[in-house]
Amino acid sequence: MAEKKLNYYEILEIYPAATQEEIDSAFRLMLYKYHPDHNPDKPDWAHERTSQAVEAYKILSDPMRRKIYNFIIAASLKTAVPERSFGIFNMGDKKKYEGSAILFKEGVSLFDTNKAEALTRFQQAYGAFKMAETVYNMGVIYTLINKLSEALHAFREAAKLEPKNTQYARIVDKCQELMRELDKARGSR
Amino acid sequence: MAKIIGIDLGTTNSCMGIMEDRRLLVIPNDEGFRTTPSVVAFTKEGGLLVGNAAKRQQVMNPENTIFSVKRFMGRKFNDKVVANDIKLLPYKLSPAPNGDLRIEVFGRAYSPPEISALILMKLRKDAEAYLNEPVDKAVVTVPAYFNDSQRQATKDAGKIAGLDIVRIINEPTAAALAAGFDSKTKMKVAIYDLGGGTFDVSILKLGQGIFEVMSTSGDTHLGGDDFDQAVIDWLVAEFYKTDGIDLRGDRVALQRLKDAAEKAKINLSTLESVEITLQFIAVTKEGPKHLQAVLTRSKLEELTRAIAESTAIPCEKALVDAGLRPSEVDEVVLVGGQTKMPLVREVVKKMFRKEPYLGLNPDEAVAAGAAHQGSVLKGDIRDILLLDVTPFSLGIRTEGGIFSKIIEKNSSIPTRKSEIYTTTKDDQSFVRIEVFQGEKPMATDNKAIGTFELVGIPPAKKGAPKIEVMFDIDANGIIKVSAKDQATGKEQAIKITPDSGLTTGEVDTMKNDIGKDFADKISKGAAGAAKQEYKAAPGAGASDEGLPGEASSEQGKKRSIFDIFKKKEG
Repeated sequence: MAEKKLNYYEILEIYPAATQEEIDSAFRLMLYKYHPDHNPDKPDWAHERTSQAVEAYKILSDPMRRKIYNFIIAASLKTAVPERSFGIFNMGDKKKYEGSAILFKEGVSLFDTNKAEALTRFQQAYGAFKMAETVYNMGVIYTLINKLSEALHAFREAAKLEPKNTQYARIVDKCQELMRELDKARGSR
Repeated sequence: MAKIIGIDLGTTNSCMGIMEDRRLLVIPNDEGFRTTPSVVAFTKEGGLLVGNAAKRQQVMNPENTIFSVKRFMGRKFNDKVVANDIKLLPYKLSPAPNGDLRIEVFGRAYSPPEISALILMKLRKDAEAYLNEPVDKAVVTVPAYFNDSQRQATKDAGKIAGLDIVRIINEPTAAALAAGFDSKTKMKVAIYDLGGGTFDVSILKLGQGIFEVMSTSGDTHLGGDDFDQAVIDWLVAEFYKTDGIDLRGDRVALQRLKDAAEKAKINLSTLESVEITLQFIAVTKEGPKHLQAVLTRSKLEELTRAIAESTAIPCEKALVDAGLRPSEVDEVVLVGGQTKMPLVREVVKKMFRKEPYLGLNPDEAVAAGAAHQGSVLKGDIRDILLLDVTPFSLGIRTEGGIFSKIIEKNSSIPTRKSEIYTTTKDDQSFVRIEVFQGEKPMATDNKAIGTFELVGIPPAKKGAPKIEVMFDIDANGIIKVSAKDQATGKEQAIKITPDSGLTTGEVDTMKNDIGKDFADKISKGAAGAAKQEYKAAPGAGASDEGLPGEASSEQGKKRSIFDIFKKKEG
């Protein structure tokens, strides 16, 4: 696909802060415009557009799913680890770092096809040499496979390793907030 | 553009409608009735009867009168459902060479779609006569739980009948659509559908045009016929008490009892008491005997209370499956003629703790929804949106036989979804994509609906190739699956057609044969004679349905010894 993959908000042409009513009416508008029943002359285009809108609406119209989705788009995978220089007396660490970086790359390339294998690689990479990016990616995968408490633990670890990185701190906050809301939603059910 | 009619092709009765100038018009059959029994009969004289005429001779000609054919649509002969029914049916079922089910009449085997096609042809013919123009397109409804092959069999029936089924929609969805619950408000609706022979209850979640079926439940052998049977049993017992004669062995008497019981039941929905008179019901040495009985509404309710109350159990199950309390259901819509009975409404009210929605005629609600949808497809109506949902999850078999779901049950259609898979062996040059439908974790526990292979994958380590498997379901529910190797761009796709059922060739042959049969034999049948017996004005009020008009003198002697009603003041 040459086109950039749009996120659900972009598909429905709304702002991420849109209210439920705005989401509903945006979806209706999309259906009027794109539904194949209304576009018998271009069925493929209509099917594609409608399918996208339906998928986006399915997630965004459910408050809990929307919160999780918001969190997932905020927590995107790190695709590279930074270069590091090691002093002459730290050749052992350098080796560990290089091994870890290879495993990290494998994890990244496996991410699309096999989340479980990718997670194993990141875990191995983290075992070999502790880097914030690696443990953060583990958190991303835990989030996607719906293991939020493991995810939170991983994000905290990343934040501990790089206390100055505000992104990690933000993710930890967001993750905690999401978990609180999920608990509340479960409790009220 | 040609007209698109809406057809509720029911197990017991069928109904059709069309939108004209944005108003619903229920199309009556050639006898003026707004519903047509889904019954096909082959007479000993070589005639063919469909509808009311077939139903009227059902008890006297049971081996050759096919009813409830809908139960067998898209089913195999060795299906559990079939094994249960076969014992109860007076007509004969047999297996086809490919394991499909056939119905045998006078030595000829008919597929269920062929019998359905005969009903559709009759409906089509009546619609054409009434509208005075050709009709070749229809929206047809099916139960929400119908699977792919059952839906496909319904489409085949249309093809055999020469009717293009432009869309299949779920019955509860159609009823909700007819009630006008389509649009902005989000709500949860229970559809309580008590028909002639089946009971279905569905809980729908509506909003923004999406009609999500949250749960369905029911009883495939519970319906108006059971209420009739309770009345027949009572009449037989009463007659035995007064005259000492058991009528159960006499087919002609039973047919008359059945007709009389149904009519008494229908009238008791509005009247407090009816008198049932069947003259010359039996003949003894002393002379002819007449059956005369007074049935009150309270007696009818006493006879049928247990049947009516048994519908509460599936309702409860549907609520539990949907995860709802009765108070969380916003509206209850009644569908099916039997729901006109006050006792049934009372049971519904008790179950859901609210008055049912009264804006619809229960006999016509489903056909009305189908007609609405026909109008949308024709382009006449733009403000009604209907997004149906897939009734089952879809996915493929992956390593270890695990079923990997790609499209979850209850996804709105149209939909497109893809997942990326990879190889499990080094230098694997092809992948076999096996498509399954169902909810079980192991693939083989679900229904296999198609298989294809993607070949020519360049040699690579296992796990390296990226193969995108994409599922497309269009607005008609037709499934397309494709697999694409992202490295080479090579792509392979299939359109899923059910593995059982009829081939295109078979459908074409049947279309010719059945079409010819219908044209040749329908006029030969007793339809003409029967027609004179029952006359009701087209568009007669709903409460008159299934009832002939008052006996008029020119309808002759035969009419007078048939069922006669005297209405009593309530």
